[in-house]
Amino acid sequence: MIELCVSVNQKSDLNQLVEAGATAFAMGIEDFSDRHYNKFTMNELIELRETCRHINVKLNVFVNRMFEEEELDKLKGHLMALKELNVDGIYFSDMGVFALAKELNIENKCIYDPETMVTNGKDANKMIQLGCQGVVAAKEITLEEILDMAKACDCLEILIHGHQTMSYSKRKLLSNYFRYINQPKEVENKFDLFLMESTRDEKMPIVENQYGTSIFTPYVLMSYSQIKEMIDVGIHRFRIDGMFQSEEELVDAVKNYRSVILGTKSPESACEDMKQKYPHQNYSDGYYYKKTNLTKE
Amino acid sequence: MNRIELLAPAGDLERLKTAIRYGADAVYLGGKQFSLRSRASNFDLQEIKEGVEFANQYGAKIHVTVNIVPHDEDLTGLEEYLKQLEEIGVTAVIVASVTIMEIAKRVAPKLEVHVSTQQSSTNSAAVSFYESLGVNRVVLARECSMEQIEKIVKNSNVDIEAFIHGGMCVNYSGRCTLSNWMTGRDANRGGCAQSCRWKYHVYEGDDLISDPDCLFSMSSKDLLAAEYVWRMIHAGMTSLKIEGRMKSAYYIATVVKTYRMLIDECVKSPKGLSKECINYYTREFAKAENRPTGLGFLAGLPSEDTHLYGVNGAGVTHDFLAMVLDYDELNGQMKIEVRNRFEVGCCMEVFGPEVNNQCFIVEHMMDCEGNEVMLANKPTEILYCKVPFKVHKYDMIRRGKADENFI
Repeated sequence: MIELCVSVNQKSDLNQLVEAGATAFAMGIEDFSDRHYNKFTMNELIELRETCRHINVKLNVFVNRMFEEEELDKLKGHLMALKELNVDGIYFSDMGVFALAKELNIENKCIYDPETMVTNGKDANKMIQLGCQGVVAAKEITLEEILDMAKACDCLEILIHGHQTMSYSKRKLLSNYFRYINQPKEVENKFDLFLMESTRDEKMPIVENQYGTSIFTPYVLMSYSQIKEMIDVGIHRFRIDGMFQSEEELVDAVKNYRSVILGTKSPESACEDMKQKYPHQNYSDGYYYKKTNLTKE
Repeated sequence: MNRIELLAPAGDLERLKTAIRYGADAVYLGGKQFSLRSRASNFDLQEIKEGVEFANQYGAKIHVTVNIVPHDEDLTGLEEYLKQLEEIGVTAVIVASVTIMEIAKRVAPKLEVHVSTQQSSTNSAAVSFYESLGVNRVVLARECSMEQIEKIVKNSNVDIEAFIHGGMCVNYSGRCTLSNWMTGRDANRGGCAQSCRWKYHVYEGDDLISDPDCLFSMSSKDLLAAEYVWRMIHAGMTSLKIEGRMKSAYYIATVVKTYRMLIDECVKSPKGLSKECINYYTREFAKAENRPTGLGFLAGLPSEDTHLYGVNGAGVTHDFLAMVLDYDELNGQMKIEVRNRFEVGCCMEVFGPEVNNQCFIVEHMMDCEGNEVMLANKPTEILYCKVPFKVHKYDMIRRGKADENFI
């Protein structure tokens, strides 16, 4: 079965998204996730667990920050709660999360997602051998490399839609800057701030919160023209990120992927429909055809 | 307490030898393949072998960075390479990829495997993950505070290494692909263009909100951890690392020599070092340090004063003038190779593996033909110069920029 996992922002999305074709949800959790528009409390998560069971979709969660030494006890307690809740998957990027999950015998819930780093089939497969349920491929690899990686790892997950993370800092880069120029500014958890390099014209979303600062790609990745090739080599886990997208857009994105997978719509018309309906979005095929192996001599 | 390792970078054999002569216990370098920092002049196997042989004479060790985050195309020839490193007598490989860690342990079991800071390990649970893979050492993320480092060492069963000096990524190391998108150069395969250090406008929606006279940047000040070295030693760390495979021999000599003195003093001082003492060492570093420095995350989350916005600012207080090639004790004369302009009458400072700072005023210089020289201004020219104390081959000569108009 082809899994279409959607990272959602609001509870109200769920039914519509399931109708559109989502088979799993990925949720941000307060205090433990980063890079999510709306994070759920543990109480909300308990409700969501019930809802997901009822509508027969998987519930995955993000525990994807980097954790400090002092936080390990709290982290372990949180993982125990997730075990209790019987979530279907836990996205992580800090190997410490995986080590603690192993102690709790829930390594099979773990999905390694450092948002880069997983750039070859052997590294991906190694994490599966160690017990992970899935491994998310780095964004900065080409379609050709993805197809090759799938030969070595049959639990490869691909983020196919949305803004991708370009960098992750522990520093409060925006607050620091605005204090430096003597214009202190409330910048935490704002989703309408952008960077533009002084000689370029692309706007990159930048989000700061209590755990640091993330910068995102200036484009929205779209994969209607690539998904079939990926399915053909055996990839069956796909994720759609909803962070900078409206509810309607997210539903349309999922619908179109489902139609393309079922063969009821051509990739070209899916691309065209999205571009026409959301002309403000900078849709792109990201790194699929862009090799990043240049070096300065 | 075991002797703590002072680990220095080297971009070539000259710098490797300098680092070891000036007091490094170990040197790390990149090979031609599988290493980050593609612009650092990396070593071929013959040079690594020569480096190992040189290090052996001093009881020092060589670590080789095999720290790319490889794509499938990059893994060709890896096993053979690791076996060769083992055979040459390299002590350790510094690795970021879990596959390379595993391959190294399997095909070259005599090599220690050190987990690169590219993996951004910030807690002892992460360290325990790598321990379960059989690694010997973990290089911590630069995001750890001093207190966290102390706790991680206490809660870990493998050796812990941390950075004490040099450039810092503003983002979690390894978790940044700004360079990939903006320049096509892969930060995790040695191509990093340091796009973080560029200038950026900030927009709120469509409104420009950055200061046009001082744009946003993510350039971090370099790390200088002198005041934490005592605590690091007493925390039970294994290795203190200096960043900078692209730095000059003069920089390496100054920084390594200063940390050598500092570490030796810390080991002898059960109660820690005084503020004056730390200030002395800080001034010593400034003789070669060309970037503003700060404490990184050691004192906690960095604020705006650890960033570089306007300037990328040179703060070096001293110029490197010449290298000592030989010393004739009978005539009190040294043979030197010129690096930067100086003249008769200027005040010079000599430092070296055996010489702490000693100053003298240049009274007489001549060239190879015996002609008197008043002004040394040809780089690499060989000159002879009277010196009123004993110097040694490989000592270096510098002078304070403030002393330039001495006469």
